Amino acid sequence: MITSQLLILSAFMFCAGLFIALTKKNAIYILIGIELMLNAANINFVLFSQNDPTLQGQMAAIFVMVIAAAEMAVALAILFKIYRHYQTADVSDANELKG
Amino acid sequence: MEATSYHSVLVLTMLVAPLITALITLLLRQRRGTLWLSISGVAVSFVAALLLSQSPAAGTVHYTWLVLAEGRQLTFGFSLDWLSRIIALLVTFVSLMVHIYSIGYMHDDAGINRYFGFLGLFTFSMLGIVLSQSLLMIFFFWELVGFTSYLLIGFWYRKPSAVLAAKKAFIVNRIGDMGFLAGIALLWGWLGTTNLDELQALFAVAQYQNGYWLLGITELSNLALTGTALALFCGVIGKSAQFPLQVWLPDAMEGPTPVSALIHAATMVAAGVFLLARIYFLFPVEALTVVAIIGALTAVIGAVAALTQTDIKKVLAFSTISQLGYMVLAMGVGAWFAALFHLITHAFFKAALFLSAGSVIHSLHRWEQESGRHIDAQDMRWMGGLRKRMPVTYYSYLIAMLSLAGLPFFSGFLSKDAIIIASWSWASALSGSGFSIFHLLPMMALLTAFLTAYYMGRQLFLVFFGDSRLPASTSLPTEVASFMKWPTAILALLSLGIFYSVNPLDGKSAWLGDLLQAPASTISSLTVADATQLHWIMAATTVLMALGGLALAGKSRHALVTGKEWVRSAPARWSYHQLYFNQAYDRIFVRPFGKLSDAVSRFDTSVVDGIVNVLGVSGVVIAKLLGWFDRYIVDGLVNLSAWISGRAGHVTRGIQSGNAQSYLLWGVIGILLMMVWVFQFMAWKITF
Repeated sequence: MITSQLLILSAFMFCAGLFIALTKKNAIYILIGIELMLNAANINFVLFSQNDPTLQGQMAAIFVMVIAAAEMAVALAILFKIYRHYQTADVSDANELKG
Repeated sequence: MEATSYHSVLVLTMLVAPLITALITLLLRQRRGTLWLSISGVAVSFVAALLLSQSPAAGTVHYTWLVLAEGRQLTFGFSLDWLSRIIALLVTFVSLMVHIYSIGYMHDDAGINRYFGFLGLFTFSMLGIVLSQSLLMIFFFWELVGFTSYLLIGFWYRKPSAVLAAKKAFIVNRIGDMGFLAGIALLWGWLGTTNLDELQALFAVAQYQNGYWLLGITELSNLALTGTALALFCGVIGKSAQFPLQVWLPDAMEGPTPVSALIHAATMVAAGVFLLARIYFLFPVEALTVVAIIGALTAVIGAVAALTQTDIKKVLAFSTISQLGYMVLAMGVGAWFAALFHLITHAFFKAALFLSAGSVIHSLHRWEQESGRHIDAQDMRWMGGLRKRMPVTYYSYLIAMLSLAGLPFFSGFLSKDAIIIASWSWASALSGSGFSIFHLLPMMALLTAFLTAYYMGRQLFLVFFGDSRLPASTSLPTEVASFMKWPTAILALLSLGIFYSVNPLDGKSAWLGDLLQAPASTISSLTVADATQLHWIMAATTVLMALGGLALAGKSRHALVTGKEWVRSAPARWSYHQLYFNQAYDRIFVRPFGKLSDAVSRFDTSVVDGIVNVLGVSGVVIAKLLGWFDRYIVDGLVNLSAWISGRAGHVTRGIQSGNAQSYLLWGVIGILLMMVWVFQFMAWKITF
């Protein structure tokens, strides 16, 4: 019973993160959205590892957290550079890849 | 008989020395040094010829040049018999004299370097003819002589008449050379050799059977041999200015006078007679008869044309034609030695005459410059009384002229007398007893002797006797420089009979006769009866003819001087215009040929050019069509594909907005689509 509620929570969190990442202009929001999506995934990992005696899902969740921290460090550094370069954190201005 | 290396060295030195100095002279630009260089070249050549004539052994020097199929060989050989050696000595000597004379004559000419270069080249070519031992080699040098004479006749190339004369000499000679080349080709084709030694070995033992001559392994009909001989004789006709190709020689007087002395007296024109002597053994009796008739005709034609000329050099030119006719006549009647004897004596006295004439012209030119008057320096009507003004030239001229006229104690008498006697004996032998049509030839020779004495006497009186007919002026013509005086005098002295025969009245006792022997041949053997009983009668007749001619000239000298001779009588005009040969040739050959050329040219411009133009235009049209196709179809296809790619790129570039979020959105859409695909199409159920 709690399982389905938690799945609904994680789904909501993922959708919210995705929505934030897709719609917000500020790069900080996008990073927050990504963090939300990662954590939604973590909830699922932990949830599904309840029935798994090897606890591989929980291990994966910890890995995701570590990677998320590393990713966040790199992302913030890039963000810092982008800010220095464009004098803004608005990602829609950083469109040099435009074809 | 193979010659020693001593001979080879001498022959090569003699041949190559004038060539090398000529080439150096032509290449270098300096004036004075090269002049002496070319003279030294000829002098070396002369010394080599002299040494060669002193060495006893005759023989040949051979170099194999080409080996052809069937073992046929072309050899580059020099023959060193007495004929070659004596004529080579003659050529180098006269050439040396002319070279020395030219120092004076060409002194002020800007092209003196070119002149001496050409002269050296000519000497080289002429020596080549004399020394060559194969007909093919002779032909090569023959053409070289033709070419260098072209250069020398047209030496003053700014004068249109000189250019025309050079061209005429060259072209007329080519006509004869065609026959010569054809003759060589026939010999090569039938007998497989052009080597004169080999040919002579064949002909020396030729056997006659049923109209065929057996030559080694080849059988040739008498007709074929006659044809070959006459084809070769065509070359002689051209080079030695025989009837009907004699027209080039008078025009060739446009060249410098020393050139005329060398080329048109002593060497080049004599090359024809020399060749005739070389190939004499090839001539069957029929061919020899033709040769004799041509020679006699030429002798008379030349003499008649010389009678009324006013140009001092033209008289000598026609005289040369006439004397060459004598030589050819002598060959034709089988007097091989007499022909060569006359060639040698003629070379000296005619060269002396030409050089004397050159001195007179030179002197008058100088007078023109000094007095400021303008006359034609070659026109004898302006001359007269030069005997006292130019004594050395006068005496040189006198000796040479008496020699040419054929007076006893002069060389010309010896050789001319021999020819006339031989032709009379020949006619008598052919006609049996009594007279026949063959006696016309010696008659013509006698008539020529008479005419020769007349026109030479006429020239003597016009130029050297009487009073000067020059326009009144403070200056008078003077004797020329010693460079010009002495070579003339030396050549004139060598026209004295004493140098040739101890007996001044009998050409048969000439010492040259012991050296020059006709090549043995069964084909051209003419049985000429010994004419000792005739000899004195003929000699007396010849002398009478000569004296008569001189006397007539002396008697009519007042008429000559007062200009009455140039009345417009028909025979005089006939003679003055050289029997209208030039006009006739012009009408028969030159103008129709010009018309033919015009027609061909018109055909060329209208038809051939038309076809070419149509081809060209159609090519352009086709090219235009192809160009259009290329531009619009081929290029169009390429452009279309490029345009399609461009449009496709343009459409798809919209996706690449550069906005990271839009990429993310596309990624999500992709994942969603994949999930739809996985759930929908893979029928892969997940149960919670």
